[in-house]
Amino acid sequence: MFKYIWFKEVKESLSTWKGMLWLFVSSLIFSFTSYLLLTDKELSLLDQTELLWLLSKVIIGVAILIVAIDASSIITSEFEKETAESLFITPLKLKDLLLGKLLASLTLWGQIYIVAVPYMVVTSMGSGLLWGFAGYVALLGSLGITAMVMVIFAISLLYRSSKNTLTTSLIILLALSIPAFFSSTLTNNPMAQFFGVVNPVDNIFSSLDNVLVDYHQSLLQNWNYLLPLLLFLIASAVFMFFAAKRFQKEGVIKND
Amino acid sequence: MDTVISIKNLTKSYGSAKAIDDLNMEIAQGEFFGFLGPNGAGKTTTIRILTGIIKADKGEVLINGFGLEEKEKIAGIIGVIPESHGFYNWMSAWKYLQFFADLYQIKRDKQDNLIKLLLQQVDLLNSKDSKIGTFSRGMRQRLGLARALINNPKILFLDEPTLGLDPQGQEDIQRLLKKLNQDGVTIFLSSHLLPEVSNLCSKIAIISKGKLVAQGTMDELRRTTHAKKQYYLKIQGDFAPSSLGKFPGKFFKVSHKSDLSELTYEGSLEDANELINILKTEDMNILEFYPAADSLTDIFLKLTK
Repeated sequence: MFKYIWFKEVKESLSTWKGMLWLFVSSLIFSFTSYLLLTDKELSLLDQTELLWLLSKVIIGVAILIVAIDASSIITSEFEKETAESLFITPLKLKDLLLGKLLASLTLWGQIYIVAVPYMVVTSMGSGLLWGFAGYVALLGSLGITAMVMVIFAISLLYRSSKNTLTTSLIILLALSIPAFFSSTLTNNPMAQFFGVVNPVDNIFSSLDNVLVDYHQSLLQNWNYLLPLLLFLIASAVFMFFAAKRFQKEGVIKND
Repeated sequence: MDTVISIKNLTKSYGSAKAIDDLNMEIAQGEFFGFLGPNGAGKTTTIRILTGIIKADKGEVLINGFGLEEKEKIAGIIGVIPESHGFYNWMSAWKYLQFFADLYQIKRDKQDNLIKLLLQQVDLLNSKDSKIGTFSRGMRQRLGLARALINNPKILFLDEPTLGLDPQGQEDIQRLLKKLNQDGVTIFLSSHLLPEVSNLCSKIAIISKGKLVAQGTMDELRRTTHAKKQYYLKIQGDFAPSSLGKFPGKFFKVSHKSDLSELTYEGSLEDANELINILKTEDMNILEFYPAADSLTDIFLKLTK
């Protein structure tokens, strides 16, 4: 049953301006970043592996942001456009709805990834890192985005409002990105180091650094970064499960 | 007749406010059941509970013998037009019905004929490829009805299906509903349009503040509601009730047309008999005297006041 929801969402994003706009925006950002990395005098002094690391961070960062914004309304729009009641009087189950919408969000991630492929190919030319680069961006992006989307779906089921879901999701994303703004002195602080270890976004970027800059490309060599990501994924799934339970208890239409 | 909807001691509260208070009803197979009540009486809440959209606090509901926990079985035999139902405006009418046919797991090879038939029934076949976003309210409502019928339901729940439609739109929907009922579909209709309910429904329930205040056929409801009845009188000449002196009951509408007086009288049957005798002794020429049937509006207002 989930596939009908998935196909509906994909068709909607293709038949409306929204889906195309996201792809256009991401290609614009990737073009701009790649152009700067390859032509800017100071940036071109960086080692190629450093350039790849920067681009990989941009690809995953942009994808997480776009998918998060899109996912914030993918469930709540069913309530706001009053289509939820018609959906739930059919034999459709909540788990099918969630799975279908999750796959739709991952499809958007897939589309952004495809847009990023040419930029990955061009920037990694001659480095011999293309497969590691493309493979780890796909793996880490998929894990991080799946987890983030599940958190957003849980929030959507609790709030049932796009505005509140989007605001909360952006606050969470911002909180997870905080280590990126830490100064080098602050990163040595034990509290900041602990936050870095448990923070999924930080682990994605550290793993990419490990793969692209330090040439540690096997999964075993990245286990210490992948494990917190997997734990975050499991925690997100548990959060979504409890939000779904609460949703079912409250009913499709919530009367406060 | 078999009971297809059975509601026992149904209760639902929102905080301290009771939306439904110990509701008991039974609806027989093939019945066209009208469900009336003022705003906030609990009609929509009742329909939402019966269709599994929200959960009751207490009570037992059986839909065609299935408890509400058997959601999938119930979903297969009911069709619903909810009070507020949005549409996917970017879809065409055809694609919209196809999407719901998929959700009901109707095989693709059967979908084309079914969708064509439904669009024909609701008079939307010519607009099958138009985007729903371009549809008028009436067209959307008819499309909603087609969607509610896609799984060939045994029971149809309709929450204000003709709300906001022009008279022609209302009539189109009503004609379709009559036809469906004649074909054996049990219809549970919640509506504010009392003439619509009295015209369509074989049985009517009235709720007020979450409680069932009356249930039955129109005649049964009339019997429930009046101790006093209204009568129409037509008398030759220019008649004024004040000229009679003392009489039981009361006149409350008097009009004079040329040499005729038309009056509405309210009183018990005994009062009416006594009045006739008084009028005869006064040598009044009574041209017409007959009891007026209470309209559903009168009954509704009496019961929900």
